[in-house]
Amino acid sequence: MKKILAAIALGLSVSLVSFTAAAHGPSPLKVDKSITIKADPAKVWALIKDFGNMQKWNPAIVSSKLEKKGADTFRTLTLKEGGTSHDKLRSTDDADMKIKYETVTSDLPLTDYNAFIVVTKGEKPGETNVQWVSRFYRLYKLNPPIPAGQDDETALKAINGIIDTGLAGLQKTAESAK
Amino acid sequence: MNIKLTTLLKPSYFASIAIVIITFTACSAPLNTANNHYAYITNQGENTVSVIDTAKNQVVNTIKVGKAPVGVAVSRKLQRAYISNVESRDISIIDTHTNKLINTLKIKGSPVGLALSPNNKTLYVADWFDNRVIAINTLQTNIMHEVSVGNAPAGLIVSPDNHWLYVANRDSNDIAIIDTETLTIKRRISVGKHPFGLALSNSGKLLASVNVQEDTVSIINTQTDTQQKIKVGYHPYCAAFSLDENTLYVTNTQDDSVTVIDIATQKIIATINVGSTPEGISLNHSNHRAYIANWGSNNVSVIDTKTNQLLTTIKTGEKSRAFGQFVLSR
Repeated sequence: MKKILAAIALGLSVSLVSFTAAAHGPSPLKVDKSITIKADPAKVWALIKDFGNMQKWNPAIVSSKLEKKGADTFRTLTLKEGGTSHDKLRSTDDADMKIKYETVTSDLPLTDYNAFIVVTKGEKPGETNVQWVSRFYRLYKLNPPIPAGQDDETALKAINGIIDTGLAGLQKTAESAK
Repeated sequence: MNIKLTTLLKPSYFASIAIVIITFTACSAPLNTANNHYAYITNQGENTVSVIDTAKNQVVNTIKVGKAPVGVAVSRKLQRAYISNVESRDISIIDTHTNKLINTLKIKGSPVGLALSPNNKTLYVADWFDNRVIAINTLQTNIMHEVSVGNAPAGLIVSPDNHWLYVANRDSNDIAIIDTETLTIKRRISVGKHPFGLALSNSGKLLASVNVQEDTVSIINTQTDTQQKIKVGYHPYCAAFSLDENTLYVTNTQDDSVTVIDIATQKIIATINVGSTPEGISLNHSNHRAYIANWGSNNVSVIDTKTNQLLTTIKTGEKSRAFGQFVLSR
């Protein structure tokens, strides 16, 4: 019916073949957060590059298990909010102090997650800037109506939670450690 | 250049044009101010378009458009930029002479990819919602026709003779070739997994399909339908040919780079680091520059296509995408 109405509205319609199997509608989402920490960049980078130990500085993570499969490195995070996230390490760059990873499977209400964390020198000596950028889509990849709990807001809330908690935790850990 | 019609009719104006022409011929000045180039960059995260003057590599205008703009198509002859807004489900029409929004067209569905026919008569709009392409008469925008295509149509491009519309069907893993006279599908070409961006060489002989989930580009000979696949970077998105058709530039969203391919040898001749999550790419052939919109870092990377070096980076808006042919000469 919707198709027919659309055809009338549009005047002349060449084809009325309907493909109701819906397409992918959502736009990619981004969470981009930064923090300045009163600690040396090398110290902060050492915490971040340790891919299998995020629980050491991020209170949103309960535990982490590191696995090697051939040349690839994976971790399974157990999340404080429940569920797990199985991530693949994409690259660790000591020169740029940048780590890139992506999620293979996860219980988080989102999909196609990838992220990087980059460490740079702060304005003052002994200060460090940390930027954590994530790209992902909501869980429901089709067009509206979107089921509850699978929308953009839910996906953003989950990642904002982990990153806000993580950056605050990173600051606390780096600034208190000797 | 804002010139009134009465000014145009004055003999003194013609005289000044003649002087300008003579001057440029005599000095062979590289940049003619009457033919500047502008890049129209869609910013998904702030519902704007950044207009870059490519002579200065500066943003000269920021124009408010619809919600979550993605696609772009520009016409020198019509002096228009068309912007697809996925979330407000409409097309923003910008007068490129004044860089002001002049009209908004409601679209039934979610418009993504846009392409203009080279004769400027038709604007094609890919609709992910109902898997169709909508053809809009650019002179009477209330006249729209449509054709059902494959699943999740994304990139669009029209042949130089205006006869063929190529559609990348992302979820059907093929390219639909549509006869623009009858708006019917003539044939389909299977490509790699998840084709998104399309590029056509200047002569129309080579079609490139960027296959996101296979990390490849299919280069198709449009006369024989034969194709060669070339491995590029991680999750490539869009591509653009050099004017001489010898080189193809491909953005790799998850490698933050641009792959440069030599068409004759099918070899990668350079990999250039750009901003974060590069998406749309267009070339300005007049000054040998490639412009790349970076979704992650909210800016545009400028590459010198003679040396394949990054020249500069221009701050634009939140989540720059610029999906389509976005460089306009004016």
